[in-house]
Amino acid sequence: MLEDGLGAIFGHSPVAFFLVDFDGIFIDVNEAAAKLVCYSRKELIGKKLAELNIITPNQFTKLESSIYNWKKGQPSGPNEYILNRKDRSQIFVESWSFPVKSGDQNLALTMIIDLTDRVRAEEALKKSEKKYRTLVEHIPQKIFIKDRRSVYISSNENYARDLKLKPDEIGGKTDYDFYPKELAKKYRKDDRRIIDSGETEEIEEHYIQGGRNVWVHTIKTPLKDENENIIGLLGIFWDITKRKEAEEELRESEEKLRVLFEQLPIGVSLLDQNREMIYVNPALEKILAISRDDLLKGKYQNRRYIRADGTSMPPEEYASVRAFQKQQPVHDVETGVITESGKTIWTSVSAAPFPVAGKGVVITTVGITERKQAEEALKKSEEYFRALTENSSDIIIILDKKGTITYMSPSIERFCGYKPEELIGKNGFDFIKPVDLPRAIYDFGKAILTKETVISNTFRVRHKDGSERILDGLGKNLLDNPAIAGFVMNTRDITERKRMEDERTRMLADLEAKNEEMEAFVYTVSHDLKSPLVSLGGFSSVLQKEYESQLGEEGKHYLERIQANIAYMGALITSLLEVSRLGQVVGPIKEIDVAALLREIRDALAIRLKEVGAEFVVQEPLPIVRADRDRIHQVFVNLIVNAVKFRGTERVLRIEVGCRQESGFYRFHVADNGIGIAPQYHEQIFVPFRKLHSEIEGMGIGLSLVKKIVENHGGRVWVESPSTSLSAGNEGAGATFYFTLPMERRTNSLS
Amino acid sequence: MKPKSVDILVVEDNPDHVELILKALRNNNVLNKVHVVTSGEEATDFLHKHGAHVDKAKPGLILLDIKLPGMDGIEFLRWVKADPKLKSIPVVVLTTSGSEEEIAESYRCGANCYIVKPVDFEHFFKVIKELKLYWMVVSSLPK
Repeated sequence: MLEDGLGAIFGHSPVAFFLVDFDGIFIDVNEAAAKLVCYSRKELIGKKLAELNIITPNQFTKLESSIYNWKKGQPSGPNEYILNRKDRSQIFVESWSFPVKSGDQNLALTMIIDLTDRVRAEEALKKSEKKYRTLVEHIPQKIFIKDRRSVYISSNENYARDLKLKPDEIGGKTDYDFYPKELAKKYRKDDRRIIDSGETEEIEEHYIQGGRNVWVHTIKTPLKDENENIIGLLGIFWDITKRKEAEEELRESEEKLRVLFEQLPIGVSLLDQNREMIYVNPALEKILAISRDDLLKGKYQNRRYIRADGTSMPPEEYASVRAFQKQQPVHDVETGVITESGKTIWTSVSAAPFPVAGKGVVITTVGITERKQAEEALKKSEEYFRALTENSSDIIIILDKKGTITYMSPSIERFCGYKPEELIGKNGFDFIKPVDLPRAIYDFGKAILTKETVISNTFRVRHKDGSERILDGLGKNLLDNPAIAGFVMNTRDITERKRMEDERTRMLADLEAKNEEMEAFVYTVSHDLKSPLVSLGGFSSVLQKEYESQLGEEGKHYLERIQANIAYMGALITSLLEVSRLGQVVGPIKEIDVAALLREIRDALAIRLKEVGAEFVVQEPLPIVRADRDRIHQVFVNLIVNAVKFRGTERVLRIEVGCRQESGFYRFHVADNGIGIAPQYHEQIFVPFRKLHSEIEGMGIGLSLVKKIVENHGGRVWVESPSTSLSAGNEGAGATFYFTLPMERRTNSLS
Repeated sequence: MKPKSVDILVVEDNPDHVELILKALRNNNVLNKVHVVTSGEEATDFLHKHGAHVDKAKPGLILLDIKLPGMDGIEFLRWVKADPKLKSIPVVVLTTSGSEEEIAESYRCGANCYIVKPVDFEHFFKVIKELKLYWMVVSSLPK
């Protein structure tokens, strides 16, 4: 019926119509309605709305209010519903309805209009707008929109707040209103550029927030209409001050680090995980004598690397390789680098893993060539000194301040039988002979306390075999010297020397004693010999005087011969006595004016000299000497008398006496132009009783006396013949006797 | 000057020397009584009038040989000069050596003269003569 009815009116209407009763049963629907909910007409008619779940229970209230209206005979609508279609999709609809009577049925005619798209779009927009608004309101960034003329149109809350405005108050303002002229100019300049170019730009720039100057990152985007015309720009910016400050700090810090690395005298390099050098500081170039370029290019790999002992270092031992493999720092690997030119550079290399360029390694290289050279020199020097002390024949000992032996050189074994190690740790004083101990301890103690540099001491020690050795030592207090920190003794074994000295002293004493004995003997004998001579002389004299008449010529002659011999013997004995006596104490030493002495002698010999017509010349200056005056007197007299005796007959005798200083001695000479002395006798003449010319009177002891006297004074006597010392014009054979007297009086060892 | 009449004591162990001394004295008219002793000890006995010498007079001159057996000359000299009763007797020391030390020592010990016995007889006599005449003044002085 209705079909005819609705169908007739509404059947082909594009608008959906539903005829429902007051229980919500579909009485009739048109095609459009069925299509709307994706059911067929048959499926809907006679079914309950609720049954089909076309409207969800939460919308029933709306339906009920509509039904209520119907019951009152009033229309309802528009009501919005979400309808569930058969295919489970949902649609938004608007529903208009009014009640109708059909026969006695109370029905409602409902017109449904699909709102879905519109609603959906609205919703979307709302959502989006909401989203957008939410976003805009809540993001920390600041957002603004300007028109083409850089006039603000709108902004978000955030920005507006900074400007102390509400978002809707910003419209119509420009940057001049908010910022200093220069800054506003800059902003506007940027705006212009962007609007003109149509390109989005990202700018880092200054901004003023709450009076503070800060850094912001701004993105300005040109806004276009549907015709692509630029109508304004959208700006969004945020504070990057902290980041910028951090960046600045980082940059500064990086700068500092860079400077540090550049200036460090230690070589720093970075290797990446492929062992490629990616950073090298100037110091490294210098230390390795290779340019940065060559290093970065890897040209250092042609060099040879050696260990501290000089053997080749394989790569696995390189500090950098070890650090990389162990992923642990490696310290102070002494590495020698043999450069292209063959020179060796010594380095101490440390390396550590470094998280750069993957698994990198940072290497520090310290040049130690000089240090190594110094060490080498020190080692050599030490070896040298060690060799010296070890091999020195002196024994070198180092003691601590208590006298404990801390070092003993090997030569101790040679002299005292102990090995050095047997003595180290023992107290040096234990080995000293007790009688020498007090002085040794005193000297040692004094040196320790007063820091007197050198003490010298002789002391006896016990050889390992129990015998005694004599040591002479020089000690120096080097306790404060950090290299030694001890008391150093340099000792010499003088046992042999002392033994020899003692032997010599003994022998000399022996000799002296024997000499004295002999001289005493000679003295006694001479004395004893003289005695009978006195008698002989006496009686022969009596004989001669009182029995002269009874002697014949022959008798007188024999007697005369007897007396002559007695006289001779007497003279001999006197000479012997003189010679023997001379070995004993030398007479009193006085200062002698030699010139005066010679004047005396000249006067004493004046008659004799005149007799022989001799010239006697004394050459001044003559010194003052310290000697036994009588003996020196004797020397001169003997020499001058000899010159007279041996004058010869060919020329007038000339005697010259003079003196010269010669290296600590006075050298006197008595020169004559007499008969001279053949060279082969130059030594003999000084021997007692040796006469070269038996016919010339004399005992032959004069010269031996001279020699004895001169030698007793510490001088020498010798002869030169022919004379070379006579002044020119008196060339002759002659002889010059020289004798020396020390300028400093030295006694003979026997006196 | 007439020689004093004093006794002379000769202390000399060598008989030859004694003979010569006596001869010299006689030849020079020295008529004093001469006593001869041959050792220092005997001389002390003489001076102290001991034993055989109990009646001997104190001599006015002593001629003393420095070299004597037993108690030697210097010792005797000291002894004499230490004795208050005897030290005034002049002592002339005779000896064969002329050693300065001996001379000095003798004088130190109180000798009045020192004469070196010469080998020569004349000299010997000359010395004795001098002694007789100038024995107080002339002598061999130490140098």
